[in-house]
Amino acid sequence: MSLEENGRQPAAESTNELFERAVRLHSRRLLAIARAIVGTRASPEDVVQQAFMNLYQHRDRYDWREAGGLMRRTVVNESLRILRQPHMSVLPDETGDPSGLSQSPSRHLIESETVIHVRRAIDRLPENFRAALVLCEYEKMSYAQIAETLNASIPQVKTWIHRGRRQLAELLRAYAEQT
Amino acid sequence: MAVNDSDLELLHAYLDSELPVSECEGLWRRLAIERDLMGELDHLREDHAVRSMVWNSLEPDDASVARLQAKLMRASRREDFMSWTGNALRIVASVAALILFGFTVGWLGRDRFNGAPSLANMPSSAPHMATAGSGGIPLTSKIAVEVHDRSGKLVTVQEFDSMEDARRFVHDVQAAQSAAPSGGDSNLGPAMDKF
Repeated sequence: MSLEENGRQPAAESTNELFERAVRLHSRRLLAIARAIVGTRASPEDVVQQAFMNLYQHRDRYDWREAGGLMRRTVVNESLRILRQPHMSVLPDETGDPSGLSQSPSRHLIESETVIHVRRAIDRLPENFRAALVLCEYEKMSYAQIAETLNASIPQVKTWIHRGRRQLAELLRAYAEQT
Repeated sequence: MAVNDSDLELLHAYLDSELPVSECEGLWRRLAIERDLMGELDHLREDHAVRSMVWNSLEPDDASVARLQAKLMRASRREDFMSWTGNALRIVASVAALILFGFTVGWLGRDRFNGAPSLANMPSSAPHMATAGSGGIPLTSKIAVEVHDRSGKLVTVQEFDSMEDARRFVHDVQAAQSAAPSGGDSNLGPAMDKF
């Protein structure tokens, strides 16, 4: 159950305790978001750590009882900032162990391969398309929430998501034709 | 009928639950009669399912999450320490700057205050300085000579720019007093002795 669902925390809980609680609650999903956006161009752990520390330095400004949206926005912005920096080094591809797939070994192999190729295709999308897609499909956010997170307009977000999916379909079609 | 780009956008919005109810009804009517559109929707649903697998595969394992959380806790404690140290250093630096400022002001102002005599230091018999009110801070460096009558009542105060002028005035008054048969009505106050 998230903090938001839990309602208000006791007033006695300090900012540091609330921060630690928020880290424990949200770090897994934020790590996945960072990984989806930066791909192999940066370490997702470093991105999330930097984003959290940016927040922690100004921790008194924020309401840590409902920190999910704030942390998500910060991680997305930090991921996009990292991607816009020149001279990014490419990290080794970690796509070999997709979790939560079918139990059947042959099916698992096929699905693993598909996932690897889709991940590579996602990695080739423009960064805004990728960020909008992951927020829409993984975080199940509305277009309005995505627009607020990415500091863009709703029509722009709709366009990014639509074009992202179309480009992804084209990339995967090309891959299917090759194989 | 072939599915065009705006139909695709419509289907994407529908799958994202972003299509208003009024447009949903129109879409359902079209889906019932347009096979291509229905086929495209099924195709998009399959793509969506594949991408869901991809998003799930991005979720880190427990070890990665634990490692990140440990790093974050360490970093936050380091940040607390740095913040505390920074505040302490700021306070120490502020106090040191204040002491230095006070010392500098005192050092620079020492000549100005040392050169001017204060009323408290002056002997009671010395000629009085012109003063502003009762504050005792000299406004000018003029020499004041008090002139009293025989009963000791102050008649006037004569100011001079230099000690030499004051001496000359005292000398002239004494000469005038000695020349007068009765010795004159006025008398220079005790300050006269200094000249």
